Amino acid sequence: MTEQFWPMAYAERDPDIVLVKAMAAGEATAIESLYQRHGPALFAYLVGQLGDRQWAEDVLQEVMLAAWRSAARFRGESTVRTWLLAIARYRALNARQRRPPPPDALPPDLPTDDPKPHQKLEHDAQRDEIARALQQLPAAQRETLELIFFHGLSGPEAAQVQKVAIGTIKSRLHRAKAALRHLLSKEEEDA
Amino acid sequence: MHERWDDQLPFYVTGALPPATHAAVAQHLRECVACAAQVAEWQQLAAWHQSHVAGRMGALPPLSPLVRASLHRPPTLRELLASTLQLVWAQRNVLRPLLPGIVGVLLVGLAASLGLMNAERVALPLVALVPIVAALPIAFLHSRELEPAFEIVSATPSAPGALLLARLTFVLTLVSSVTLPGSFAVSAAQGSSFGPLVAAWLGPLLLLSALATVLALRWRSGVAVGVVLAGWLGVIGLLWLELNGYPLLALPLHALLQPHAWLFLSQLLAAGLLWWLAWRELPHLSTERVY
Repeated sequence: MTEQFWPMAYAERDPDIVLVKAMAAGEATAIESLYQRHGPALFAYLVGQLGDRQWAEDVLQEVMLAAWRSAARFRGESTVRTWLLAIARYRALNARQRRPPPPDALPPDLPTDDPKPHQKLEHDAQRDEIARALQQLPAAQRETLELIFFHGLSGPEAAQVQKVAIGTIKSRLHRAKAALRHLLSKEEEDA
Repeated sequence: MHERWDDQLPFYVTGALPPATHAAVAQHLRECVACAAQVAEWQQLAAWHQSHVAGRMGALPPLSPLVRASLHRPPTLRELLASTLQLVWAQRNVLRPLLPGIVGVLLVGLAASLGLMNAERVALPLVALVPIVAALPIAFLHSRELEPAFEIVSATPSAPGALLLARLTFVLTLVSSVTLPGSFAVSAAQGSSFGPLVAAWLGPLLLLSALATVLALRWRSGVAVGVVLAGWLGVIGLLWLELNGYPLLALPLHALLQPHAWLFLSQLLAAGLLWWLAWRELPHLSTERVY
């Protein structure tokens, strides 16, 4: 029954699909492998959505459990990466509805105070400027930028995750670019 | 001229375009300075964003022992119940823009029934309005055209069947929660029987909702809305003519206002049959169509 949803040529090419099939068959090692492949990107996405690393860690575990339980229903109509991001997005929205962010949480999408390699680079000041400018964008635009430029989703895939029309993705990109250009030039003028 | 390429450029930068499109954009960029400058801007934005998000990347926490322990444990009844209720409750986000309209129309129907002096026609406003008020949102809910409203439900990794049931449950619960107490008030005020009054709108409500679902899944939301709306307006129009002494059909449509048990049961059976057809349709659907 499930077989009809798995285009074989696609499955043979894509190791993710093989892993999800194995998860659907109950192989626990498959979820470990999938976690190693996609966990870092999902974690970064969830930290951005929730603004708190510990919270993001908890929700990431929920995402993986939800992926395990939904594996048999994965139809191969999207990539596994898109599917996992969609689950992560749903879980993050649910988590935010269940409880407000902890008082010491960072605003979503701001880098943490932990020392990061990028903070050791020469362009710290410029990065902070960019981080501030990105933070001023509407959340939906920031998320679109992240899905496209960090997670490497195509337009239709980003539309699938954010559940908006492809035209909305394109207009968000253009608006975000224009807004960033404006915000950064304003910061330069102020400086 | 650049508009044709403008939307492709960010995806050209990330390498997310299909190979043929990527090659076409690359060819265009050799000839177009303006688009090449746009690409440079997108590349800069991509680099900024990558370093910004990379700042959040830390050591990946290990997969929790709780998750490992849960892998081969079926969800508990409580977990199943919680996720079902959550799924049903999440439908309010989809329907939120329509909620005031739905409740408003139902209240108008109830007020009209309360105001009618004719005991035989007391169910007419409810029969005319309640089924269509439920069926139209159900038809809309099976559409991706309402995209922005799908904010939460859309990413639910739920089986399409569960999603359909959640939507039906939410709409029917909403409609019934207004119309049932309203019907009680109407029957008390008019001295009519509560059971037949409820049956008068509940049977068509279930039938029309099931029809809207099948049509929306088999064809598309617009078809379902059009057919259901035109069909029900036609039935109500014929009923109105019949009640005013101009019967155009051999069938006595006024039976809809005070349905006998057999009529109510046949409406339930027909609704059940349509739901069964909708259920059979699910495996052949793309998830896109359901979400």
